[in-house]
Amino acid sequence: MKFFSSVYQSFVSLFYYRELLWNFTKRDITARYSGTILGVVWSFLNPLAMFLVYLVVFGFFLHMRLPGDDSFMSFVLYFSIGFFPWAFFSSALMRSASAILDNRNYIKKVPFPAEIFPYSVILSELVSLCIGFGILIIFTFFVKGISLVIFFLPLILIIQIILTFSFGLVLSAVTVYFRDLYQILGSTLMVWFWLTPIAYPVEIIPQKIKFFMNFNPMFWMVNFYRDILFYKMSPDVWRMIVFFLLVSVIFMISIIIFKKAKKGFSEML
Amino acid sequence: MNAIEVKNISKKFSLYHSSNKRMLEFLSRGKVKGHTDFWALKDISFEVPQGSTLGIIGQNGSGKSTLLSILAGVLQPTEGSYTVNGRVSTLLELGAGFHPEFSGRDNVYMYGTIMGLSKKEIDSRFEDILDFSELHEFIDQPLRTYSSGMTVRLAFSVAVNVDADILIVDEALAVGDMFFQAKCMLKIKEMIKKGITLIFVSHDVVAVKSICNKCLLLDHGKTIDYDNSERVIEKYFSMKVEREQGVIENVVSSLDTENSNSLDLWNDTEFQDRASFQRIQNGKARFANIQLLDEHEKEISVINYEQTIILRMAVEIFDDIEILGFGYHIRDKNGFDIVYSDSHVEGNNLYSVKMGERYIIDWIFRASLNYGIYTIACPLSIPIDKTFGCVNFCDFIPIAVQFTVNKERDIFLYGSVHWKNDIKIIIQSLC
Repeated sequence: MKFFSSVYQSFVSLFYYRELLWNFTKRDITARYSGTILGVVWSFLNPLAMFLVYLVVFGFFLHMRLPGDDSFMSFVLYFSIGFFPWAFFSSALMRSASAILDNRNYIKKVPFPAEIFPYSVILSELVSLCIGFGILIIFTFFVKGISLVIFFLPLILIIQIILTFSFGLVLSAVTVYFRDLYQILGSTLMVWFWLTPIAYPVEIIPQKIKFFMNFNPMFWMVNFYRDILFYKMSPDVWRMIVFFLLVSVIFMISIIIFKKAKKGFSEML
Repeated sequence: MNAIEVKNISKKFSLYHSSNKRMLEFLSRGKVKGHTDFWALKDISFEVPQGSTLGIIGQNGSGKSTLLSILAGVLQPTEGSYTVNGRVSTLLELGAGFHPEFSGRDNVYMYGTIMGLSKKEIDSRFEDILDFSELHEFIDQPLRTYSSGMTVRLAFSVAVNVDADILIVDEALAVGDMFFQAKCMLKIKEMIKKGITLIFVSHDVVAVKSICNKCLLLDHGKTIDYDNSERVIEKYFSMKVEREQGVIENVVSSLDTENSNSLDLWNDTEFQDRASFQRIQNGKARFANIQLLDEHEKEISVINYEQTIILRMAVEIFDDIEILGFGYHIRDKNGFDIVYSDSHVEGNNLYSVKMGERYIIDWIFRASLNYGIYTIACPLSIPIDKTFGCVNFCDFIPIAVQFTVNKERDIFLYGSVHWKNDIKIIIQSLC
């Protein structure tokens, strides 16, 4: 019971500081690109450049195609639906890992919930994901057409946000104590990218390993996105419910971990 | 009702020798010890009634900042408990939350929300904040274009307009121009009148005295005294003097044992080393040594009030000089000249000195000085134009001797120097 009341308190204080969270998010978005000509557009152009590189290598040089579908456009769509959520996930994690360290000024001086910092960088990263999805939806509309299952998308997005929050919270707290983590995270994310069927189709994963893929939350996420946008079918509702519950439990655990770690912040910074 | 109640607070910091040690200790679940404990605060208790003011003084590292951080809610005490009733506004390191790329206006809103105000509350206070900061024409400029003084003005203006019940001020006023500092002081005093509870931490003891009715004196994390400001500040000073005296005595005694045989007036290398700081010489004559002696001609560095002392100068001449002047400045710790005299003032110049001659000059005077640390600077010079005080320095030593004057227990000298006075009192009866 103490567990749940602790989680509940965390939500209450977050609600109390919602204006601050909003301000920090807004500031993060504007501060990062203030003084640049293209502004927020950069937050989308950077992953786009990466995306194009992968596309040229896999689509043109390696002639990667989906099984039973020889169209280049299908591959582009398939790849991009996996790639943009991943780009959000990885940059959100990288940035939240340093979120507490970067804002030590505040944490050492003023008493307010430190979780605002990982939350706000993740929310600010979300902006580029939303722009990405906007473009993706238009693109899908012309290539494949859109079906009504697209209304599942916000739901999946919410799960994605909760998932990212959970990882972000723990990472931001642990880096305070163990600063090497930030460096480790960079290479971990690269390996993780290849462990997730983003640049290659799910079908080429050997049957033996496929079961282990279920331990990778991004595997679930990518499948949900593809069900909705690419295959134009509703994701399995039970899978969604199970995954949502799992993610919620992970989120609550990370809130508790963060809360425990938070006590030592002002001494460690 | 008490605004702040602190009961037996202690704070321990674990100092790790390296982050590897921390990892090791964490992984071994504390079996491998990789840290040393440091108690920044030990058993501190006090109460601050609503509407009163408390000053916290102490030397660097005495635990003031740790205590403030705990009161501000940033640090958790290791032991003990405390309660704070009311909204706290901290003036710790002003402007720490400012972002240089944003305008003054945006930063005011941001700082306000950090302080716990809603957007509406800031809207209603914005005019007051702007008026107090006097930054009307700059408010929409990015903060990076502000001078540091302007930044402080803006930060202070927000902090005092939060309408806090408890205001914590930590050294923050040391920046900004004199005029604005005075304005801030006035504002703080006005807030005290309105019934705010104030915690004031400063090295500026005069400011503490003028604002706070009670004072807490900390040393090495322990409460030394908690009483009326006047008394506590007296104690603080005497503590400070005792400590500095201790340092100097240690140095002197260690020197005495080492060099007691080789301590020759004319070949004192220790003196030459000490004197070399910013020394000016022209090679015609020089101080071979300068010593501070008591009546028994023993070298001293700690003297009592009104003690008779001898300032001995050993002068070597390397050239024929028609008139040679010499003198001394006694300077306080801030470098202000407190007492000055020279051979011209005293009518005692040296005339037609010859190459190779050596002189020993003794100044004998009573040190009627307030307690504190003093430095003696000594010039040796050839006058060029007496009417303008223009001289050619043969030797000028900015730090020739340093000494401490002990605090006299019964006498309070509210100036730097005491001179001999004659007091004449005539009673005129009214009938």
